[in-house]
Amino acid sequence: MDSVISLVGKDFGLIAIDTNSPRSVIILKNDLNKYIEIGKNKFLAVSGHPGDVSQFTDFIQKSIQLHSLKIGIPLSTHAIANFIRKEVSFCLRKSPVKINLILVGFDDSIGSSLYLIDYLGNLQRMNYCAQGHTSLLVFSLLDRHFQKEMNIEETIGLLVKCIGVIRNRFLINQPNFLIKIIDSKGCRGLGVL
Amino acid sequence: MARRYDQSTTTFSPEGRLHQVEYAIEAINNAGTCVGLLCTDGIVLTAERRVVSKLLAPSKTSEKTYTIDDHVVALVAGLTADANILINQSRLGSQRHMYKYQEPMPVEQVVKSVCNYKQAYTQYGGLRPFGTAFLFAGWDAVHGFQLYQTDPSGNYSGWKATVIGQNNQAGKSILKTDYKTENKVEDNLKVAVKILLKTMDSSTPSPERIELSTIRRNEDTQQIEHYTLSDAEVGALIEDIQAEIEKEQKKEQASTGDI
Repeated sequence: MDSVISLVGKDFGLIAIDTNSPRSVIILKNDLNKYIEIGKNKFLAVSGHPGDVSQFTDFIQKSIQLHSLKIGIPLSTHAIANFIRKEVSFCLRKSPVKINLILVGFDDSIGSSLYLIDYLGNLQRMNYCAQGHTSLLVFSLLDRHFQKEMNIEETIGLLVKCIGVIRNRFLINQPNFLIKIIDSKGCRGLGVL
Repeated sequence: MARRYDQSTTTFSPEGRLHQVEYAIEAINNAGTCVGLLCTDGIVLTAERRVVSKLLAPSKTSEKTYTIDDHVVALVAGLTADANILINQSRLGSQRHMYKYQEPMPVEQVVKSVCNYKQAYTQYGGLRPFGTAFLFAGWDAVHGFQLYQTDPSGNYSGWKATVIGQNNQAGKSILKTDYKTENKVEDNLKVAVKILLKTMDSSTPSPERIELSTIRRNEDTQQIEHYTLSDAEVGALIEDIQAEIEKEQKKEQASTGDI
């Protein structure tokens, strides 16, 4: 049910997450934050079963924080992505976590990067990604219009197009999309679409 | 007085010292000298290889220099058997990090993990400490080229240049005069060999008794290169330095009018 759309632009990453919390046919809460911030400029958007989401993301966030405190230097996006993938993969044949994660991070050395970790422990670095049923609608738009190193205005324009298609065609009403930007200054919100 | 409190590692003396750890540190001072020098474009490492008998088969692998990972190298001073265990531990730690994060372990972290392992043997278990000191040298993206010294207590410290093992005080005094932080690897090769010649207890130094290597980073391939100099190259350096020493001695004799 969750929709997540994410793209990397020139020195920043952008992510749009819907804020619905549904239970059966009712929307319980329409301003839920389905993400966690790891360190200064790494951002993890998670979609899947709510219990698994809270438990797993808490574990990841605290593990990474402990590591930073112990070592004194923050982990890179690549290292965090592989660490998360290992944990998902480790649980796979014992008690699988039914969540998909999108990790967006900014490192001074390589700029912005986006990683998809799915519930089977697949890890893939991508330029743009979408989660949920709406990915069926959104990927074709992204395939057509995405270019590398777009600036913020172009990226938001593309996001608006994607959300427009979702509102037009998706059965479930998702009125609010939280937009977050991740760049050298950290993670901050750009408002709600 | 120390006799009553030095039998067990896990007992403090009344003066607040751990005698077993201190004795272990003493054991290092009889070991073959190791020298490490940080340069602007790399690290120079050299060690004296002790040959106790002519009947010993020449070693195919090094007994002083060990590769811990692609980006970390260690020099050993002290009990070789103890060193083997610790080298194994550090290699394991480094690969575990690589397995988990798919990134090389930062050099200081490698050193810390070995030191934490060493420290355990000074606090519990009733086992004696490891009688080895290391010089860890490597490169990582966070701090560039680094050189660390570890001792049996589990302490470590970062150095620009250091000497451990036999006659290390003599070596360190040469460092004070001859080592320059702006030197490149080429210049420091000579300084390293000069220190070894002074600290070795042989009047006829030969390349077989010196292990000399450099760590550099290839900017194009972004790989760390650990290069061990051949006997011929070491021999050439020894000759250069002996010639320089003779020249200096002659100059001194001339200036004091001893001719």
